[in-house]
Amino acid sequence: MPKNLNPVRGAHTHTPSRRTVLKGLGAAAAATAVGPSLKARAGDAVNLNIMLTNIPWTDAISSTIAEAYNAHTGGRVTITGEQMPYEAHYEKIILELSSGSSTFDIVTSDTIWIRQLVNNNWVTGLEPMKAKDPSLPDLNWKDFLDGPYLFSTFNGQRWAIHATQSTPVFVYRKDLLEQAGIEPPPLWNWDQYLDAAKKLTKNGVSGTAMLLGGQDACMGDWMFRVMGYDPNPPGNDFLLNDDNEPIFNENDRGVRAIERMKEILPYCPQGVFNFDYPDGPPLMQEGQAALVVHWLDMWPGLDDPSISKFAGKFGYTVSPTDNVSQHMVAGWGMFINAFSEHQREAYEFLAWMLEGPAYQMFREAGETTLIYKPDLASPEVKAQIPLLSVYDDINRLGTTYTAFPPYKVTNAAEVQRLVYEEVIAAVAGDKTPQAAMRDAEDRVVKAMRG
Amino acid sequence: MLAPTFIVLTAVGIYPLGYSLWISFNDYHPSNPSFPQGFIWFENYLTAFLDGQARHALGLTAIFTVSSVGASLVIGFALALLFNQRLPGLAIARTLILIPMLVTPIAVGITWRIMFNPDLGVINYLLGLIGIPSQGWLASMNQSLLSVIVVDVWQWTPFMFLILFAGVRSLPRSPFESAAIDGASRAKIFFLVTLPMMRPVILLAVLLRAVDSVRTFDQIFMMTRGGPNQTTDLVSLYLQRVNFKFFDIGYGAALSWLFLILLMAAVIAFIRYSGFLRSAAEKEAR
Repeated sequence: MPKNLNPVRGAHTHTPSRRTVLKGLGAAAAATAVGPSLKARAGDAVNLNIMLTNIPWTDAISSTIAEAYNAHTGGRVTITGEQMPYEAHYEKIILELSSGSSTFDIVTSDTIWIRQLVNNNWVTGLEPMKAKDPSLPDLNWKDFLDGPYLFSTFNGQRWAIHATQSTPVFVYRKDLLEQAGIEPPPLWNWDQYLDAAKKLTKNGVSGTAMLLGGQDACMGDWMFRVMGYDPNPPGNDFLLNDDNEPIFNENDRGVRAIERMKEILPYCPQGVFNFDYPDGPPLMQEGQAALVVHWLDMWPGLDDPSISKFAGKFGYTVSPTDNVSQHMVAGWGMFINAFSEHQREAYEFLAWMLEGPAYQMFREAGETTLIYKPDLASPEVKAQIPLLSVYDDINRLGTTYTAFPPYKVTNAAEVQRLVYEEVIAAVAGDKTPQAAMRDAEDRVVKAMRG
Repeated sequence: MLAPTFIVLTAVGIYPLGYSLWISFNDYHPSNPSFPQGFIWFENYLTAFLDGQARHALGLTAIFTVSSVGASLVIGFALALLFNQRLPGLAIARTLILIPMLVTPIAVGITWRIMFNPDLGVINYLLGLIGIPSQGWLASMNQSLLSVIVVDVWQWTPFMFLILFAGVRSLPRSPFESAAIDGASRAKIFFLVTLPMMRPVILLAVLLRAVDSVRTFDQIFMMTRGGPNQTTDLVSLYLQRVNFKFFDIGYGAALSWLFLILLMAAVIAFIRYSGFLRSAAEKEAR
């Protein structure tokens, strides 16, 4: 290229020679080749990069917890995090781990995806690591609720630590129930819920609401009803049996759950078919709905007067049921990426987290789905987070835990989507509930070919 | 001298296309290594022909594209004619009118999702002020497709306007002066002079806009995720789900190729039967 071809590029621009470019590329290639060994030899400064989602406890990971752990390790280990919106989180995990990427040392995951990732050998088991290397610190499991471990205990090993536990909570407006002369729950059945929704639909307030616009959110609405018909052994899955055959419509429970959803549609806000998780809190904070049943982690801030018009007027209890009192659990776990170059450091970080203070930082960041038992037993914490009173009702009523499905299969997101499409078609009136359940069973059988 | 160009073009253009074609003949599930994987000949393509959801998505995409392009053509043309007048303030308005086109589709989706909220959104509030009852919009099975078309028209009419306005400004004045001397009415001038002379520009604008419209994804994903009950599940959203929810990459690639072939066929048919090339040649000759 003639040197004076582009004189307007400025004094600080020059065209590098071909030799210079080749030298640069050679240096970069050499640095890439020797980089990992240099890093291994240095052995002191390590950065743990964590894939996070956009909820309060993950804010704590990349701020207060990162600072505390950095101080704990004398500055040796730094923590960085990258937050994904919930809708993109699963995609990100699959794209990263299926390509063997070591970008993230620790990955946070919704509970229903963990088994798939373990099955694909993308997770380094915590207990196997400890068994191989006894010098690693012990993991303290005893101070935490067991519920979430339904999802990540597999082949007798624990593969993840859990950060949160969510469970369905029946949120109701105490003042509206009182004005309508309705005796507050617990423990209601769905007929009582329907009656109350009818009575409370007035003066611009909808009696109830559902979140039918999101796959996971709508599956919650449906499963909260399905789980009330038949007892389910802990660790089992309402969608699939041990042979991965569909069982969600055994004894017509799937159909009945859809009918339960349809009967409250007239008492829901107009936007009900488009509501997803982010739409839930404003429904109650703005006083649009009087009764809602949804996951515990949806409701931080309901009692905060700075964002909620009706702070202090909410009551919380267990979900209504028709037959048996069971509670689903779900939540978020953290596991070590099998491709991470810092497995030991990642293990040490998770072990440190299980010592407890990190979970207190989750709470301080605004997380409500606590699993740290000392927090849950603390009257101050309970007073601070009235939502947690749901656990008192669970304990008092002897409600049993069951895991939110489908979590045992390697295509959980796909199976959930297929069932969701059929449930929503039936709720929208495009199909009868019976036809929708038959179609859902057929589609799930076809999807279960792995 | 051609070698570097050839290598770059192959690397960035032809290789990914070839690879996706190869993938489309495979059963490939990166999310489930335990699933059957490998070469399966035309099975993905046969599945696509039997896939009712794909046909549903294709039908919705056709409705969406025809409606959106048609509406933005009419509005864009009307605006182009309006802005061709000598009126005060039009220069500023002409700049302002381009703003929707400059907003990122994700922001457009979020904003309209909030505005369309049946219970808290500003649109129902304003309608309520003039006595129109609250509508479901994105949450309604009957109105969701119309709502996403309205948003697409809102965002891309400025693009249509821009092309058509440039066309209107470039029209020679003499045919209009002759028509005026002959006493032709405004409607006659429009239908017998303006439209025929604008034909190549209109066809170009429609072609560009239609190709862009069939690929619409971002704002609809933000507004409805293809719902409610799949009433806005266009091909692009279905492809995203097959590829990134089901991670059925082989099938997703086959669907993409079939869709590409259909789109190319539609474009070729449009160019051939609309007289696009002839009109362009005539314009060039003028």
